[in-house]
Amino acid sequence: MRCASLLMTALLALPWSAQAQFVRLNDAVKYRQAAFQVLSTHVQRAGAMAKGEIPFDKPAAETNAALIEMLSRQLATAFPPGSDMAPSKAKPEVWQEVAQFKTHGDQWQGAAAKLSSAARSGDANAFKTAFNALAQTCKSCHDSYRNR
Amino acid sequence: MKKIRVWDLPTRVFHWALVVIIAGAFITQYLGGTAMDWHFRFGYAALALVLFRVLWGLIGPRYARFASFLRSPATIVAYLRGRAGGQHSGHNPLGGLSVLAMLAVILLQAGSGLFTNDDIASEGPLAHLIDKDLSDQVSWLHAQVTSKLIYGLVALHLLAIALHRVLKKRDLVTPMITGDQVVEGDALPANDGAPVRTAALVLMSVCAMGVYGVVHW
Repeated sequence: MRCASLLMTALLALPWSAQAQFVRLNDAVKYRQAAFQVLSTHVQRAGAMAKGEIPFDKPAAETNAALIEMLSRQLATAFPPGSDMAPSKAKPEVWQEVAQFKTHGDQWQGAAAKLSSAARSGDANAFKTAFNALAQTCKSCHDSYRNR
Repeated sequence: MKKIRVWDLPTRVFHWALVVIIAGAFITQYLGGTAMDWHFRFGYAALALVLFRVLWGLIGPRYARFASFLRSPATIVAYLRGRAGGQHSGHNPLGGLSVLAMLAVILLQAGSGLFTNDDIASEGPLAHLIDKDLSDQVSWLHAQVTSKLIYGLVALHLLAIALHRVLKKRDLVTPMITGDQVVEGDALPANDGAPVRTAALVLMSVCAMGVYGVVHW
């Protein structure tokens, strides 16, 4: 009995939590692609402000940064094992180098949180610096874990 | 043996400007993020320069002309076997081929760059004209294929310069700075006077305006 309950505990502790959020594995792929699509729109809007293509606007910067921050957290748990199926562009390394992939995700979430505080500070220069740091985390993860 | 003008000033300025631009484009794509703005500017400059060089290859002075340095495959093979006879003023047969390859690949790289996106916050000025999936494919070619062809050609170029220095005791770098090369026989100098330089300046301006027009389509 004791053994069985230990086994149950171990099974529950396994990363089923991520998978359990999706009814089917390819739902995870659809979720990721939809979320990245929305993310991309807001990163581009934030980027236009950071690059000075449009003037810095505090409320818009806050909205964009808040969405980027929220999606960065949600997407971190949207790569359940087995969800490397078409049309996903994620490389198999996502599931082979779990620890490194998580480090990339953590850095991304950290940079996104800093972008949010920079937006709330209303300082256009701080926003630009924070955006640059965020874009670095996008690039390093894309370079290692995404096919084009 | 005599020293003559081989590389006219416009050709030399083109060469060293391209060196700066390729280095700049290499560094800024590595940095990514907002540095991509500068990557784009380097790309536009590369496009204008290569367009200029193609036209200069048609109307420029003697040694800058395609007609003077594009040789038949047979001549290139003979050159490689050491049977092409003596020294070559300007580009040797193999060097001429490398100029053509370099111009073609850089034109492809700078031209395709107009249609790319980095999936972060930058996209080429013409990317909105094509489908996102196609833009992604062009981006893959740009970042994974043609970029590596450029690295390869630059590496071959530097290797050739080193081999000429070590094996043939020939300095190819100084002539590209001063314009003058020691040649054998009755080789004629390249025209590098004020009218030639003025014509080049006008042509370069036209190329720059043409690229500006395409970028702001």
